[in-house]
Amino acid sequence: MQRSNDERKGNQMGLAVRIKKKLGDFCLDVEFQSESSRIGILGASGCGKSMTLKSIAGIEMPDQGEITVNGQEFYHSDEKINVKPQKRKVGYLFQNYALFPTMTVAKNIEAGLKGPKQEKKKRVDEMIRTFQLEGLKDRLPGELSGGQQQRAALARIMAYEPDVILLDEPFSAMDMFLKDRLQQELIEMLSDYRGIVILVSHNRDEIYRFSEELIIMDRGAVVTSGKTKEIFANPGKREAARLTGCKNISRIQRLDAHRMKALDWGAKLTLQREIPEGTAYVGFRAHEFIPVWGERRENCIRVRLAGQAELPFEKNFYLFPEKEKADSCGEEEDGEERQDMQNLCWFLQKDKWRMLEDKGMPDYLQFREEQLLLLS
Amino acid sequence: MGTIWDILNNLDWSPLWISLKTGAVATFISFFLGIYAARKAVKMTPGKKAVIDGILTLPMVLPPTVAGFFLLLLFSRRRPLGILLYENFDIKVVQTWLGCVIAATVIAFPLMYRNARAAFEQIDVNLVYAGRTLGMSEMRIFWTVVIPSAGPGIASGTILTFARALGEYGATSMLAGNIPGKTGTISQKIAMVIQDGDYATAGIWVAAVILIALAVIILMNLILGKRMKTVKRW
Amino acid sequence: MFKRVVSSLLAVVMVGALLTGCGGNPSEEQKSESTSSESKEESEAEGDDEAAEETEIQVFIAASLNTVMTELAEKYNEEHPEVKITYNADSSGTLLTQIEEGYECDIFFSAAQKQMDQLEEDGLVEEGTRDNVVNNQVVVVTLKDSGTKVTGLENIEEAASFALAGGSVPVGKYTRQALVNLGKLEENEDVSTITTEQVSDALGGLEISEQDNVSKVLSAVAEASCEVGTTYYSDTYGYEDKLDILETVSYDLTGNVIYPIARVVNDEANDAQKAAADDFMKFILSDEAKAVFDSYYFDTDVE
Repeated sequence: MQRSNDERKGNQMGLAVRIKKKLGDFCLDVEFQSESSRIGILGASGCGKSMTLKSIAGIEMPDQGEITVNGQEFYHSDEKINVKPQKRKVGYLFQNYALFPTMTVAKNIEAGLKGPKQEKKKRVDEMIRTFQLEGLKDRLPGELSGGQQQRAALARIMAYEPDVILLDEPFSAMDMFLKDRLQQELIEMLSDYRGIVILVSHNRDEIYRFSEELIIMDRGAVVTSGKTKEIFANPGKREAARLTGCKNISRIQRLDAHRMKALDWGAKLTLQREIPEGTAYVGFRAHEFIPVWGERRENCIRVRLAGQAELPFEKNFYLFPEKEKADSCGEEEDGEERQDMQNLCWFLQKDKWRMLEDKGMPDYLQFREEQLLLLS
Repeated sequence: MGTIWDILNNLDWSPLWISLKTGAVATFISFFLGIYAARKAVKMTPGKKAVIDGILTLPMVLPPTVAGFFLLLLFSRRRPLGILLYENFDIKVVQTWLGCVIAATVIAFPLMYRNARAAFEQIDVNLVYAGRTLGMSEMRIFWTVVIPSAGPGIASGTILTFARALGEYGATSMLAGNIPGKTGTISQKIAMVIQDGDYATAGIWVAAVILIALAVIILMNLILGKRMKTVKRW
Repeated sequence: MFKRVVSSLLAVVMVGALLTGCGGNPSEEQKSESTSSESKEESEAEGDDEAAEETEIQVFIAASLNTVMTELAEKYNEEHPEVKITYNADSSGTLLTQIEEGYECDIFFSAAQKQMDQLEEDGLVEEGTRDNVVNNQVVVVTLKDSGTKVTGLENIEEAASFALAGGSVPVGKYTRQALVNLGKLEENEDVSTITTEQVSDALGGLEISEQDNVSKVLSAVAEASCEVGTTYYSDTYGYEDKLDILETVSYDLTGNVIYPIARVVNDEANDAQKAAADDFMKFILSDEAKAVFDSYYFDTDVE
C-alpha cells in the first residue's frame, strides 16, 4: 500500500484518506490509500472506524487532514476545502438503516432523487423491482421486517447512483440467521455496482467474505492495510493478528536468525526461514496445531489439558504448556515461573475427534513452521 | 330557561370573534417562531443554550399581569419604541387588537418553543445524517424529516399554545385594554359580568370557551393523528 | 400533507379576519373621515339638534362602574346617536398606567381620588374639568343564612373568615381606614400600607383572605369561601337574593369614597371628539344621570 507522493496524486480512481481528530480519550489518526472497489475496515468497537466512515461521508468533520475520492478533494483542511455531504454523492448505510419513519418506502427511495416527477417515479419503480420490494411501496418502515428494511435502505441509496457506498456495521444488530442471509443478499445486490464500497465491521468473517482490501484499526490508528487474504495469512502486527482471530500470541526473545524463544509458552522454536530483527511476537492459529503422541519432534511443546469446551461442530481445548522433565533441546533452564505461561488454544474439527478417542490427548502439540506468524 | 334564551339573543358576540382571531393568529405566529427558536437552540453550546432558554421561557414563568406590564412599557406611546413605531410606520400597539395578538403570542410562545425543542432533541440524529448524504437540502430535511418525526411534540406544543392564547387575560388587559368590540376578549368579558353578579351570562361564555377549546383540540388531534401512524400505543 | 395543516390554520385566520375585519384603529379611520368632510360647528347646548357628525370618544371607567355606565351610554345615545362611546373598563390603577403610557383617552372616571391625583400630577388632566360624581358606601356583606355573628365592623373579629381587599385596592384601603377609626387598627399615615397580616393580628388572629380586587371579594362571599367581606354598596347590585348587608359603614369611619371624573388630555382628538367628550361629561354630571346612579346604589349626594 506504500506509494510515492507523485503516484498518489496521479491516481484518478480510488480513495486516499489522511485525517486526525480528537475523540474522547484518544486521537483518531488514520492514513490509507486504496484503488480497490471493495474495502473493509476491521476493528473493535470504539476504535474510530465509524468516525472515519462518517468523515468520508462528510457528516462529521475531522480536525485536520485530507480526503480524496476518485480524484476529487472532499476535504482539505489547509486549503479550507470541505465539500458538504449533500454534494459528495456518497451513500451511507446506517446500522439502524435510518429510514425516514414517517415516509412510505416509495417516498424514502425517492428522497435522494432530483428531476421531473415522472422520471423520479420511474426510477423508484425500477428500484422497487430490483430490490424485491413489490407490494411494500406504501408501507411505512415500522411495518417492515429487518431484511425488508435493509433492502429499502439500499434501494434508497442506489437510486441516485452514488460514487461511493459506505456500510456502517450493517449486520451488527442482527441474529445469526438473518445476518448470514442478508450478507449474501448484500453481496449479490452490490455485484453490479461499479463504485467503491467500504464495509466497516468488528466481525472478521464479514470482512473476509466481503472485502478485497482491508484496513485494520485499533484505538484510532491504522494497524495495517493491504489485500485481505494476505493480511489474514500474514498479519504482520500483533493487533492485526489478534483482530483477524489469532488466538495464540506470545512475546518472543530472538535468540539468533533462526531460533527464538516464545516467552509466554516456554517453548523454543526453530525456523528454516530467517527471523526478522524487529520481530517481537509470534502468533499461531488455533486450528493449525499438529497433535503428537509419543516422541518429541521439532517445535513441539508438551501440554496438559486445562480445560475444554464443546461446540456443535468443533471442540476447543485449552492446554497448559508444561516443562520438560529433561529438556531434550539441551538448553539451560531459565528458571522462569511457570505460572506466567498462557494457555494454548487448540480448536479441532469434529471429524478429527476420532483420533483423540483412540489415542487419548496428545503429549505434544507441534507448531508447523509455515503457519508461524512472525509479528512486530 | 327563558332568560337564557333572551340573553343569547341579545348577546354581543364580539368577544367570541376577538378571542378566536387572537388565538388563531397568536398560534400561527408562535408556531413558526417557536420552531425557529427551538431549531437554533438545539444547535447551541450548552452554556449559551441555558441562558437563551431562560430568557425565552420567562413569559411563562412571570405572572401574566407582570408580563403585560413590561409589554405596556415596551410599546408605550410615550416611550421610544412606541413613538418610533407610531411616527414612522403609523403602528399603534397599545389599545389595539394588535396588542391582543402580541400579548397572547408572547405569553403562549414559550409553550411552543419548549415542546418543539424537547421533540427535536429526541429524534434520531442518523435521520438527519441520512438526509444529508442523500443530497437533501437542510430546509428539506428539516420540514420533511425532522418535523414529522417530532410530530407528537410539535402537535402538543401547538395545541397548548392555542389553548393558552385563547384564555389569555392578564397581559392582554394591560397591553390592549378591555375595549368591547376591539380588544375585549372572552376572558375579560367573563371577569366583568361576574363582578356584576350576572352568572347566567358568565356561564354562557364559559360554555362557549369550553366548546371552542374542545373542538379545536379534538380537531387538531385528529388531523395530526392521521400522520402519526408510527407512534406506538404503550 | 404537512402543508395541509399549515393551510388550514391560515384559512381559519383569514376567515376570522374577514368576518370581523382586521382591527385597524376605528378612531383613526373616523379622524380621516371627519377631517376630509366639512367641519361643522358643534352647538354647545344639550339636547339641541347638533350636526350629525359621527365621532367616537374614549371613556376609561373603573370596573365597578361598568353596568351603570353602559346604561348611561345607551341613554345618551338616544339623544346623540352619532357619538360612539367606547369604554375601557378595568381597575383604576391599570387604567391610570395605561393613560400614562399613551393610551388614547378622553374621559377618566376613577374609583378613587388617588389615581386622579396622580393623573393631575402627570399633567394629563384638562384644567378645571375635574369633578366628583358619586360617593359609594362600604358595606359588610355575608351570604344569606350564613348564621354569622357579625353585625358590622364593630364585631368583625367574630367572623369565621373575612374577605378583605388588599391595601392598594380602594375598598381595601377604606376598610382599613374605618378599622383605624374604630380603634381596632393602629393609626398609620398611609393605611393602604397596612398588611393583611397586621389586620389579622389586630383582630385577634382572624382568618383573612386577601383579594386583589373588589369583585373577587364579592365572589368569595357569594361562594361561601369566606363568611363575611367588605365591598361597595353599588357592587351588591344584582346580588340581592344571594347576599345580606350586615352594615352600611358610615362615611365618618371610611372617609368619603368619592368617584371623580375628569377630561383627559388627548392630542389626537379632533374638535368634534373634544366637544362630544365635554358634552358626555356634562351628561354624567346631570340630574338625569344622577337618577340612574341612584338606582344602582351609588350615593349621588356629593359636591
